[in-house]
Formats: sequence, structure tokens, C-alpha cells
Amino acid sequence: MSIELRIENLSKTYQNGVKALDNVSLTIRSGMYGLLGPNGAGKSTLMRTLATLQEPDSGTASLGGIDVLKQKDEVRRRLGYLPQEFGVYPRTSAQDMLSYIALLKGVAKAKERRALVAWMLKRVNLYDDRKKALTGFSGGMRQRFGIAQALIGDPQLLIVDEPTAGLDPGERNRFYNLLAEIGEQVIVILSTHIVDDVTDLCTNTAIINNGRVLYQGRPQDAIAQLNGRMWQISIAKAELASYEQRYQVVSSRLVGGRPLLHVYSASPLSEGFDPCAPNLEDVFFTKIRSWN
Amino acid sequence: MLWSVARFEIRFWLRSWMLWIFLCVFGLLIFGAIGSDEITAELNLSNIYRNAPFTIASFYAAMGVFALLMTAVFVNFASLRDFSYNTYQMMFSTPVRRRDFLLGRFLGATLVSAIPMLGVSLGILLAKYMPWANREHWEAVIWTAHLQGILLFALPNTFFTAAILFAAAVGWRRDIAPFVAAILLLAGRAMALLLLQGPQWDHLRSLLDPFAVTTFHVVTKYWTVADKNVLPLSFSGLLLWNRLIWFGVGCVSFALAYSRFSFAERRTKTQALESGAPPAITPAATAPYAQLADSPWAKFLGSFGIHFRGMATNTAFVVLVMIAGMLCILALALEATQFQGNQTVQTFPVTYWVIELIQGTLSLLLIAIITYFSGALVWKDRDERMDEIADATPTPEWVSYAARLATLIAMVLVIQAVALLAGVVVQVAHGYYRFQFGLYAHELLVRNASWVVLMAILAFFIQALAPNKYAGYFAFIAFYLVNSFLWKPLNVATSLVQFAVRPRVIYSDFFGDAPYRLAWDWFTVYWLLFSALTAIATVMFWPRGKPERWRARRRNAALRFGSGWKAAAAVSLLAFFVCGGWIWYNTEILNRLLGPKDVERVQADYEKMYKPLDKLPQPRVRSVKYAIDIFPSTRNANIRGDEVIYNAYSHPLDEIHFSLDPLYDTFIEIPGAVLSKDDTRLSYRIFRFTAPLQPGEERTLRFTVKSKNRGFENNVSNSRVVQNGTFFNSGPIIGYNSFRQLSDAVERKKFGPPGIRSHARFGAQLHCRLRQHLHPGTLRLGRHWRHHQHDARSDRHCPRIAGARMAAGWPPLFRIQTRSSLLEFLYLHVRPL
Repeated sequence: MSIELRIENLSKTYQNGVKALDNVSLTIRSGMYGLLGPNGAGKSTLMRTLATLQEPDSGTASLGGIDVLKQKDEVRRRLGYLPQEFGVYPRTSAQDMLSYIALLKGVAKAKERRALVAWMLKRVNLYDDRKKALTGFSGGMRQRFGIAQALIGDPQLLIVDEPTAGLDPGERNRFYNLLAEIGEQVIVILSTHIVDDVTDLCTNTAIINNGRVLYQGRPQDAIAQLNGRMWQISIAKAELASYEQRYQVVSSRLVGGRPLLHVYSASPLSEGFDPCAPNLEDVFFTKIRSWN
Repeated sequence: MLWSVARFEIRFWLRSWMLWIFLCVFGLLIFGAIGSDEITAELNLSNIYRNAPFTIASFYAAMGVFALLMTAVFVNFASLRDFSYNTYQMMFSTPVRRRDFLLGRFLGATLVSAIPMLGVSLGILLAKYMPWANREHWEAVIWTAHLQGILLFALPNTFFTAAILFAAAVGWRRDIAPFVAAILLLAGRAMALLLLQGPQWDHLRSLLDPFAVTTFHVVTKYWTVADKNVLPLSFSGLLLWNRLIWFGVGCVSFALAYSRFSFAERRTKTQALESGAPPAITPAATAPYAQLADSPWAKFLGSFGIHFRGMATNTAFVVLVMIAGMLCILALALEATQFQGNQTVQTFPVTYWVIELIQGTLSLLLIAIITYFSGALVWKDRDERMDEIADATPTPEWVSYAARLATLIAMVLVIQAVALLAGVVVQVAHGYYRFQFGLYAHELLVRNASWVVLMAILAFFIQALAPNKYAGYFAFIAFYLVNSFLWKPLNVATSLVQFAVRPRVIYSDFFGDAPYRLAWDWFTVYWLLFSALTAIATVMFWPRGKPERWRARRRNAALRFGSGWKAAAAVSLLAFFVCGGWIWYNTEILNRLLGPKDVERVQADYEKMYKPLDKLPQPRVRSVKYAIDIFPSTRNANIRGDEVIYNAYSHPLDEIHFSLDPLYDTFIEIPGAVLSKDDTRLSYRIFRFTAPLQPGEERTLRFTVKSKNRGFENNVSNSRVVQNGTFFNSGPIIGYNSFRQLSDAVERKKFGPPGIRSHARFGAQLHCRLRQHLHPGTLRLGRHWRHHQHDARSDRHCPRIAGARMAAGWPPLFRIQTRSSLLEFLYLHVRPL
């Protein structure tokens, strides 16, 4: 029986007036769960709240039977968290730092800790550089260290916040392979604004904008909703403005120097439009602009 | 371009609250000082107008030293902002020229640093118009005087300090650089002023003082009151040269910084690592078994290890340790053989004197270290952006807190150990080998450590609640200053309210610190209990996760305050009140505690009332027989005396006056005389002879003097009767006692005993009783103390008269030294030979 993370009516407004979370309610089961949204949507706020680092103004969250807001230590014992940005202590090696974090997570016995740290570093392919100072690591290496510290201790709830931003495609793939190896009883919440990540990896997704949940469910179901409603056309650059005025242009990408438009329309369109199979990006944009 | 950079800097600071708070603090400080009669009296400014040019200039000059810290903060921020906020890559790749960038920043920071100094003018101007201002103390506002203060002191001092600190910051590119430079500057200045004491060095000292305080005093040394009220300081002579020299030094420093600065990145020692070819994925073997347990103590030790290693390898700390060692060695080399500052007598560098020197030298450095590193440790995770990862682990808040607190204490202990080493080195250099390591350890590592613990806990509490590191620094320093200076003007003496203040402990070669221990221990327990409560509060409010509003923090604190913590807090609170009550009972009920002003008033009144009677002829003492009961364990003594007095004059005497020691209860019986005046407040008694004492007539009076030691006191007042050694005042003094004008033992030593009045030799017969044994012995005393003990056995137990002082006449004051606490009775018969 897998554990469920239930979020109910979570709200938070920052001191400068920004409403980061607006009555967010989600139910997340084990497996990869994608949190999709543009920058400033509230993804990080939600992640930090679930990682016991932030207080919401109202609402509740529970992990199995544990109250996430009131029983923080219980959550932390089962938690693995990779923040969007993190730094490292200066003059500290990867091995020492990982060992310290493993200790903080509760791996008290030194021998066990040593073995676990070595295994984890091998797993993220940092073993050869384990004695070198973290401050000298490149972005990709640091991200690998980050996932290593998040995975240590066999967490039941793994929260990764924008993990692949700034990684090259090779690194990204390796990262996802790592995540894919995680056991099936673990809840993995992945936040990103890279739509393809969600399509490829996640069994369920939620689309968030301005602190509100616009969609939750399986990516395939969301895409299926748009069946027959997405159209594409290749136009000249000069025409772009007029098309944007006349139609609901979901996205515009340059292909061979000419804008290729994806247009949303419930009714069929002629005048050069071809029907196209919708993808998650289309879902994303249409939801954000409330056309769907 | 330059001016836009400077303007940006200034506008940036004008928006910051820190600048205005500093300005207000300065203004209030001066406002308070100038409005207070006592403070102006202490500063020797009371006989001139409060807003005289002289006064204004004095304050401006003095504030230069205070402003150093502020300038350090401003300069630090101005020069290092781009590095700490990571904008340097953006900034330095724009086409801004080095000259415009650096000079603009620097000018902006300097001008801004000078603004809080205007608080001096503000404070003085405001104080004049206050309803309680005494018209007579103020003259018409002389605006040019304020302008001169600014031009002569505020601006040049700020420029010079900003230049040096800026150079340090730019050269070293570290957070702590300006603070270290500031400490070095102050230390160097203090050393130079110390070495060049004496009027023959006045000119040199005036030129070498970067803040021109000495220059100011030298230039105005012979000014009359009228001069001070009216004359403006002229920008000429020594003052001009001083300002020019230090302006030059500032320019040179800035030029050095300028040449060393480059927009390129600091040359990093290592290349950023990159793994080469994409690795083969390790097959997903299962992880080795690791049991997860809460184990808070293991977490504490591991955290302490990583924090301490991090701090100990921090360049800034290593530099500070070296500075501490250097300062100690310098101070000791200069003064270790000059006991209590007496430059004419060479003594051995005894351990307790070396310890006193070390403590005096390091006190300011320790405060700076506690201030800075408490901020660094509390904010470490947030500064290094490790806070989210660390806070998401199941680590209890108290582990995080305790590990950092322990790190700070360990760092200070390292410095104390280095100081100890310095002390030993200097002792060896002088050929002195009686190290007394136990004493070193007890004083430097235990006694001082207790103070450090109290201060560190407070600093952590402040930093935990502060919205940012700098606010925390400021609040802690402000608290420290207030706690140091607030109580005397308020006439408060009790250490129950003065944070971390314990009774003075004076170590003596004769009796160690025995009489002071009891009070010191109780007060230390009291403040440690208070700190325990503070520590609990700190853990409850320990910052975790992202910054939250106060409501949320209070809610979290309530959540953390479980039954274990509640019990600990309740026990500590109860113990605190019980301890406080016991201390209050001892210090205020069993013993009297006077405020510092009351004490001074009594002395002043005594001098005013009875000094005029000094010249009245008084009977003289021919011989005295003392019977002294000693109670070493309670530090009490009863002295009974039969004193034979006679009239040495050729006319009859009507009265005999006594100055009594207020620390003892005195009873005097004189046959044929009645008490005509008993001034209990000023401890003076006058007896009137019913039949006047005729020339040559002798009478015997009897007195009993009882010491009043009960429990313990706020500060040991009577250190003359101690557990194993006693210093007897030998009874009531006839006539006016000029000793009582002086406030404390230190003052007395400075003035020393007056010269020997009579060349008479006298002898003393001593018997002592130790628990039923009577050991006779005869001693002969004179100008040169020679004494013979007939019974070698008694040498160990019977006290020796270790020293005597022929004070203002007769009888002499004795010091009875004994290492035995068995002494219970002493019989002493002193008469001239």
C-alpha cells in the first residue's frame, strides 16, 4: 500500500504582497509527479513548504498519517530534498560534505556512513573526485552531488526543484536515469519548466500558474483533451502580428527562419492550417492562458 | 562617470536604515553626555560652556575612535558588495574604468561614513534647547565651531580610516579584512601612545596620533577657561601637520589599493573540475545497509567537527590568533616586569600579573571575535546557501545551535591558549620559571571562559533573532556598550542586573583569591542560569527554513517547546530566582550595598567636613596591647585593644577625635570622657574629656573592633581579613585619616604610604594560640624588619609579621601573614623601645 501526499487548500502570500499559493489542493501518489509551471508560478514555494522549510498561511498537508506542517521532524526523517539553488561550505571535499549530510540525516555509525557515502558517490559518478573541494566542481558535478545528498537515507518523499536547469543534454539524461532507478514506493515530485521532462518521465502532472492549480492528472489525458483542437501553420515573420491578433496562437517557433505557429481552435480552421497532434507544451500554454 | 558612481553609492546609503540609526546613536550619546553634569565633570569640561568651541572640538576628536567601527562596516559593504552579492561578473565586464569605479565607490563610502559624526553637532545643538538645560552652561551658538569640528576632525579622520580600511578590503577581498585592519590600527595607535609617554614626546605623539586626539590635547594644554570658551581651533601648527601627514597616509593607502585592484577574478588556485568522457552507469546494485537513527549526540559531535574545522582553517581566524599572540607578547614585553605600572621598580614577571596584562590586552579583541564569529556561525548556512539542504534533514535545532556555540567557545579557548603560551614565553625570556600552570589554566581557561560563555550565548540569541548579520552585530555591540556604561550614572552597584558582571577578583601571592571566591561563584551560577534560559529561548527561536513573519516564528517556537524543554526552563527559572534571592539576601540584607555615587558622596563629605579639623592637636599613643580573636573560615576578627594615650603638648586637650573604619564595628570606652559626636554615616567620633587631659598626662582607653563579614558581598569590601592572612588596621585612627579620601586600594597604592614621621624604634611582643597551643615568640621591629623566632616549631603555624607600614603617625599598620587557617588568637603588645 503506497503512501499518499495530500495537500489541501494551501495558501501563502509573501510580505511584499505576492500571492505565491492560492488554495492549492493536490493528491500525489508514488511514482514521478511533475509540477509544471512558468517562473514565478509558485512551484518552489510549494516545494519548500512540503520540505518543511516554509510556513503556509493556511491549509493542510499530510504524508500518509503525518501532518506535514505540525510534525516536521517526522517528515524530515523520510525526506530527500534537492533545492533549486544551493551552495557548499568552502574548503570541504565532496566526501566530507556528503558524510556530514548523511550524519545529519541519521546515519550515525561511522562505518556504515563511510560505505554508504562511497556507494552513493560511485552511483553519481563522483567517486574519483571525492577528495576534491566542492567549490571547484562544475555545475553538472554539483548537481550530481545534490542528487546524491537527496537520495542518501532512502527517502520516501523525494522533492527535486528544477534539477536540470543548466545541465547539458547528456547530464540531463544521466540524471533522469538515476531518478528512474528509484524504487516504486517512493513519491518523487519534480518541478520544472521544461515540458519534455514531464512528458518523458512523469506518470502524473500538475500545471501551476500564479499559485493556482490549472490541471492535475496524467499528461496523456491532458493531451488527449486537446485532440482535434490544435492547428499549425508556417507563416512569414511580417505576418506574425496579425495572426496573433486574429487567432489564439499557443506558441510560435522558428523553423528554417520562418515562424511555425501552433494555434488553438475548438472549431476547424482552414486558410492554410493543418491539424497537428497536440503535445504537452500546447496543454501548458493553453492552460496558462485559460483558453482550455 | 566618477561622480555618478559616487552619487549612486551615497543615494544607496541614504536609503539604508543603518546610516540613520548610527547617526541617531551618535547624536544620543553626545546629547546624553553633554546634558549630564557627572559626565562633563569626568571629562573635565564642567567649567566651560557646554557648547564652547573647545567642547565641540573635543567631542569631534574623541568620536573619531568610535567611528572606526562604523567606517569599517560602511567600507566593508561598499568594497565587497559585488563579491558577496555575486554581481561582480556583471559589474566588472562593463566598460567602467577602474579609476571611476574605485574612486567613486571610495568617495561615496567616505562621505557617507562622515554623516553619523554629524551626530555630535546634532546632540550638542539639541541639548541646548532642552527645557532642563541650565542657562548658565550654554552660550550663543557658534556655527563656525561646528564647522571646524567637521573640517578638522570628522572629515579627515573619516577619510584616513576609510582609506586604510578600503585598502585592506580591496587588497584582501575578504569580509573580515576591514575589521582586522581596524583592530591593528587601534592596537598600533595604543602601542605608540604608550611607548611615547611623557611631555618630552608631546610633539611626536601629536603627529603620530591618526585621530588627532593627542594633538588636540597638546595644542590646548595651556589654554585658559576664557580661551576654551571663545577661541576656535586654528588650522595651523601641529594640528595642520598631523592632518596633512595622515591625509597623505590615506592617499598612499588608497593609491596602493588602486594599483592592486583588478577587475579580473581573484586567481583561483584550482581549475574548475570536469569529468571527462560520459561514464558508464553503475549497475543499480542495492545500497549498503545503513541504519537510520536519531542519534543527536553523534550529530552534535559531527557538526561541531565540521564547523570548528571550517572556522579554524579560515584565514581570518588564523590572522586573529596571530594578532592575539603578537599583542600579548608586545604588551608583556613592555610591562611584564613593571608591577602595577610602577616604572621605577623592576619585578619578576609573576604569573598573576602576566595574566592580568593578558586579560587587559585581549578583552577588546575577544569582544570583537565574539561579535564577528557569532554572526558568522549563526548565518553560516544561509551565507553559504546550504541552509535549505541542512534544514530539511531531521536535525534537532539544539544540535545546530550547540555545535556552533561550542565552536565559538573552542575558538576563544584556542586564543586563550595562545596567550598562555605567550605569557610563558615571556616569563622564560626573563628567566622566571615559576609558571603556576594551574593558575594560568584556572584564570585564562576557566574564569575567562565563563565570561565568554555568557557573552557568546547572548550574542547567539541576538543573531538568531536579528533580520540580518549586520543588525545583529550592531545590536550586540550596542548592548555591550550600554551594559558597560549605563549603571554608574544610574547609581546602581549590584551585579544582579549588570549582565555577566561578577565581583572583582584580585589575586594575591599571600592568599590567592580565597576571599573573593564565594561571591564570584554565586554570581557566576546566577548568570549561567540566566544564560541557560537565554539558550533555551534561542533554540526555540532558532532560524530554520525561510525567513518568516513573527507570528509564524512564535507558532513554531510554541511547537518546539515540548515537555522536556518546558521542564528544563521551569527548573532553570526556579533556580535562577532562588539564586538571585540568596544573592540579594547576602549582598543587600546581610551586608549593605551602596551605589557608586553614594560611596563617592560619603568620601567627599568626609573630606569636606573633617579635613578642616586635621590640624587640631590630638593626644598621641604611647603603647597598645592587642588581643585579637581570629575566625579565618568566616573571615572575621575581633580586635580588643588597650591603648595608652598621652598629651604631648604644653596645653590641656579637651577632645579626642577618631576616624573609624566603616568596614568594622567599633566600640570605644574612655574613662573620663563622654561621646559628644557620633557621625555614623561618615564614621567619625568625637569624645570630650570631662576633665581635660593635662600636658604629659596618660590615660588608657579601651576599644573593640569587630569585622562584619557575613555571607558574601557584591564586591569584597574588606579584603584585610581573609582565610589565611590578615592585614590589621590596628584599631581606630586618631584624627583625620587622609587615606579615606582615596576610593580604592589601587588609588592607595598609587599614592603610597606617606614618609616615616618618627625615627622611633618600637618592639612588639607576639603570642599566638592555635587550637589550645600557645607558642611564645619575641619579635623586634624597626626601620628594617628583622625578626627572630625562638621556637622553630612555631614557624610553620605561628604567623609572622610580614610587613608593617608606619603610616600617618603611630601606631603602625601590620600585615600578619599566616598560611595556617588554625590561627585563632593573637596577642600583640607594641611599644616604643
